This record gives sequence, C-alpha cells and structure tokens, in this order.
Amino acid sequence: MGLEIAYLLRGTQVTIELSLLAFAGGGVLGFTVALLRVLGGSDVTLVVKPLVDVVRGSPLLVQLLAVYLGSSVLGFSLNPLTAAFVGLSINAGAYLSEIIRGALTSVPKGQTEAGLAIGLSRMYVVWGIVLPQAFPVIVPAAMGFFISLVKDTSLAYVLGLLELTRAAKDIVDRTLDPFHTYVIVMLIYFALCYPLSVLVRVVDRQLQHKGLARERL
Amino acid sequence: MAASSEPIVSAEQVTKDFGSLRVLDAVTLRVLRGERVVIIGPSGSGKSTFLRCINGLEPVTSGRVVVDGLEVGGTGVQLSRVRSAVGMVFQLFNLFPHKTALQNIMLGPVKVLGLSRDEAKRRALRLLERVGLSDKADEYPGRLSGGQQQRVAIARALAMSPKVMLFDEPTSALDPELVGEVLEVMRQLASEGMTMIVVSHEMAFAADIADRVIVMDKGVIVEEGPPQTIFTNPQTVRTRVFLTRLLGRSGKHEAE
Repeated sequence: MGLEIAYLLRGTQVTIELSLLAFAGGGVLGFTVALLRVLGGSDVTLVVKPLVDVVRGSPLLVQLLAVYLGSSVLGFSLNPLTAAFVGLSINAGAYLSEIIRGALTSVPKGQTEAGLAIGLSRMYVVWGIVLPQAFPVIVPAAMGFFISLVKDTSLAYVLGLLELTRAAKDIVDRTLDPFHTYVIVMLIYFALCYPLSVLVRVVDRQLQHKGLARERL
Repeated sequence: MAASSEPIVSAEQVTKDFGSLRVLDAVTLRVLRGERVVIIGPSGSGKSTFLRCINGLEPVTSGRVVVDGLEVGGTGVQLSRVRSAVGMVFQLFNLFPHKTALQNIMLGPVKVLGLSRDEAKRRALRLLERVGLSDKADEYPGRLSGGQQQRVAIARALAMSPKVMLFDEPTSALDPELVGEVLEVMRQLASEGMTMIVVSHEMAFAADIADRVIVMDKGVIVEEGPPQTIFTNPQTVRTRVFLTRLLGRSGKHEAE
C-alpha cells in the first residue's frame, strides 16, 4: 500500500510540473498571439485566427497524439514529457489568447484614442494603458483555465508519460483494484484543484473590489 | 482678432468614407495661429470625424491634413509628432482610470516628450492649479465629478504644450450644472491665445469665443463666418433650419 501511494505521489508531482510548464508555455504563446492580433490588425488576424480556431475546435487528446506521433514521423521524435508540454502549451495558448484578447478588447476604445492623442505609441498604449485595465478580467479567467489544464494533463497518459493518471493505471494493472485506486486519484486531483477554485473566487472578489473603489465612490 | 495670417492647421479636400458611407466630402479648412474656430451642425454631420482627422485618429480616405508643417499620417513616428502637437479633449473625458489625476497628466510628458519625472510633475501640478484642481492631484478619475474629470483631461492635453487644441463636444456628457466650470477653463485658454477648434452645441459660448463659426451638414461645410453673422443672419437654409431646431429646444420665444 505504501509503495502504491509513493508511486501515485510521484505521478502527482509530474502532473503538477506539467501543468505549470504548460501554463507558462501557453501563457507566453497566448499573450504573444493576443498582442499580435490586437496590434497587427486584420492581416495578422487573417493568418492567426484559423490556427486558433483549429486548435480550439479539435480534441486535446488528438492534438497530443498528433504532436507525439507526428514528431517522430517528421524525424525529431519528442519524448513523452516534451510532447505533452508542447501539445498542452499549444492548446492552452489558443484558449488563453482568446481570454486575453477578449479582455483587451473589452477596454473602451476611448482609452486607446486618448493614449494615441497624446502621442503615445500603439505599443505603449496597449501595454501601459489597455493591459492594466484588462488585467482584472484576465487574471481570474486565466486561473480558471489553469484548473481545467491541471485536469487535462491526465490525457498525457496516452503518451506513456508517468503522470498521476498513468501511475493509477499501472497500479490497477498490478493490484486489479480499480475502484479504490481511481477514487484516491480523483481525490488527489480534487485536492489540487479545489483550493485553486477557492483562490479564483477570492482573487476575483478582490480585483472587483479594487476596481470598484477606483471607479465609483 | 488674435490670429496671425499663418495657417497652423490646413485641411485640403478631406474626404472620409466609412464603407460606402461618405462622412466627409472634400472638406477644406484653414485655421490660423491663435484663431478660435467653433464647428456646429446637426449630429451625423461629420464634425467629430473631421476633428479626428486632424490628429490622425481617423485616417483620411483622400485629401490631406497638415498641422504646423507636418503632414498627418505616414509612419507611427510622424503621427506621434503630430499628435503631441495637437491636444484633444473628448466628449467622454477618457481619463485613464487606473492612474491618478497627476499621473494622467504626467504620462505624455514623461513617455512622449522625455521629461524627467520631477519636471513632468511640476508641469502637471502647475496645470492642475490652472484648471482649479490642485487639491485633486492624487485622486483617481472615478472619484471626480464629470466636470472635474474634463478639466483634468484638458490639463492632460495641455501638458504636451500643444500648438492647437481640439475639443470634441467637451460638455455634451456633463450634467448641466457642471458645464460652466469646463467652459470657463476653455474661455481662459482662448483668452491666452491658444489656437482652438471646438465642436460644440453651446451657442452662447461659441458666440462668445469664436473668431469664426463653421456650419457643417452631411459631410460638407455649408456656411462659415463670424459668429454674429452666422447666428443673426445665416445665409443658407440648412444653417437656419439647424439653428431654429437648436433654439427651439431651449428658447422657443427668442427664436420667433
């Protein structure tokens, strides 16, 4: 029993690492894509939007397989961890870019115009004026997305990556006790995600509070 | 008239289309240094769009705008130079809500003009004093009244030491009792010799400060002249119709 718990905890560690890495990768990607679309206008959107749509409109499981198996066909075979990181990052990037872009475009146009009117560059206007105002919208939404990302890492088990779900499968193969094993695994995922969802609520409330204090008396 | 004979803003044959809709149709206007021009006209006549073409917020479809020898348009750098020479005050103030009044005013001087923070702060405090808001330096816009916000917005535009100030219906979004304080600041500015192009529905104010009144309708200038002529002896039917409608709202009897 002790051995199995240790095995699950090792899987949990990989799950956490993969989640954080993919969130960071997706964050950088999503941010870049969102800024490109907002700054670059319709030309960039013409190229980038279909890519985002394809990623958002197909199953993550298929994307992971495509990256993993596709890479070996293309001759640079990625190990399971790298493939999972790349696949999840691309997927997260597509969703996060939409979250960030939506938040940026929700800031009234007058803010951009006022910034441009005093001679600020478009780049600075987005960075220094629009983004800070979009932040209270981005943060809770991105945190919410991170929670589903943690759960989505379980799909990486098909690549043979020894994360939490794969660890469970290995144990079940050996002990033939799926019920107890998977209930424990569910509880571990829950223990990871639930505190985060509480945190999202707190942060959301805090940000709204701060925003309101500035906006209205 | 305080104006010299040298045009500081010159718009030549400015045409602006939004899709198939022609909003401005070959509008030509030259504004002299120190001149105060008030543009009036029914909503949808293209007044605001014309103002926005002067600082390049709207790119023109054809024609050209030159401000102080610089053509509006082209690269970002050139546009930025034009825009820092042209102050703009918006109907909805558009102060940055995450910055205090002082920070709102300091941003342009620091980021665009390259002033040191100390210098920019001194300038900002001086401008706040000029618009009568010295005590509000550290307030966020959300805690200011509309009139106060608009005065901060004027100070923010003045902080760039502009050569021309554009006002896009600066009092239209204000409660009636707050209009006066904003007009007062604008009057003071006019008396100091600032070149001003004002889109406004405040006829008394226009009559008071304008060297010239421009009447726009359906994307063209239908009439222009000194305020006395425009308001008491309009030459075109469209001006007469517009003025009658406007006065009909507030002072029916005077119009009759």
